[in-house]
Amino acid sequence: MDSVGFKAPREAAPKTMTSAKIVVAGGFGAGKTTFVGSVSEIVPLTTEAMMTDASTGIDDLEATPNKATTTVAMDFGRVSLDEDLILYLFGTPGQQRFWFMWDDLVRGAIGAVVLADTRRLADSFAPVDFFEDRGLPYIVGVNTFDGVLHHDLNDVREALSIDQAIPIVRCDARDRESTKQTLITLVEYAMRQWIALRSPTAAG
Amino acid sequence: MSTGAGSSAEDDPGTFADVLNGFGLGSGRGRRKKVKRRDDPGDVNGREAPPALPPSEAEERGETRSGTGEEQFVSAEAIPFIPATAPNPAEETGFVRPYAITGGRTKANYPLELETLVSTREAAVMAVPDQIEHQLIMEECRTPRSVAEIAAALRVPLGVARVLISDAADTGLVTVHKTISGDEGAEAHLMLMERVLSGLRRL
Repeated sequence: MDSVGFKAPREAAPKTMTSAKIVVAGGFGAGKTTFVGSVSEIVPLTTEAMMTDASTGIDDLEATPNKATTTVAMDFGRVSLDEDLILYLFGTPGQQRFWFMWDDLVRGAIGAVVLADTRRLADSFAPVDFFEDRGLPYIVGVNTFDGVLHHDLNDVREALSIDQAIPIVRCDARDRESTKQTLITLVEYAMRQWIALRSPTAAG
Repeated sequence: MSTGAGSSAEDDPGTFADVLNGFGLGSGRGRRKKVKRRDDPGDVNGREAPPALPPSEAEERGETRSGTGEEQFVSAEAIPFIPATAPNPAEETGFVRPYAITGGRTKANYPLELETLVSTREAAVMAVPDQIEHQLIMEECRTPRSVAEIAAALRVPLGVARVLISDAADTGLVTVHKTISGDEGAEAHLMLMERVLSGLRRL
């Protein structure tokens, strides 16, 4: 706030840097990596990029025949929002055997976007359950792969049986503007939640 | 890794042949070669990768080593190393157990979240730390980098990166920036969300 427009040389002042984190969840092939990549300033980094033999029987390629590989570890992107503020987007590992990493992922996160593929809506149950259990604010983004929304958003809400207050938006993971709007919806919702949960103290 | 093998070979008071092997191949691989030559008929598992050197040259090295026959027998005992390193030859760090870099330690002295930012301290820019990983961290963090980014850049598991960063911070090479988490300071978290929101709108 106090240093808007001031461009210091990178190494000069030991200024305080702040980072924030948003989690992007969803089933295998739901478009998490695409979503992260559409807004990230770096090519999404990942610890391991290839699907190994070990995941045979865990990953199901049937409904996404065009997808040959998947990330078996988490991938993430970076968005610099200000001189001293960096937002990181972390995609959840698709496989159940990496669930131990989810605790690391949600700790301190602003919230989560659950990307839903309406062809395989059941894949969204587990992330939804997890975030509800941890009390992490989340919204559902229905990824419209071919620009067409195949299902009514209310039907999706009913199928996922989630609360009316939780936003469900349609999004195109490939489109930067769409991803941006989805993230804005999430942060707005997370702030409403945060204030609502702390209403007695929020006045201060 | 070849750099690491080279530097360790310099430190070790090994034989000249060992030094050569250290440069030419991974140290683990060198050990395997020895084992194979000793127990040639017994090696039926066919796990041996094709040696990087033509056989004739390998013979030469065998000649060189014949002066230190004693050591060869010691090496032959080291067969258990093979299964530990063999399963995934495609993995670049397959010859070193991940936590070997940290001396087996798994705990960090700082709360290092995935998104926690680390930057190289200005006072330490000229420092040349002994451990190659610390050098890499310092190079990487000239502009602030998250723990996750550092782990990806160093190609080490997250837990290993945490210990390495913790060490680098302990020795004053890098600064660990404070991470705002939801639990401590509700006010700070709300402010952070506000800043993220306006930042996203500006994008």
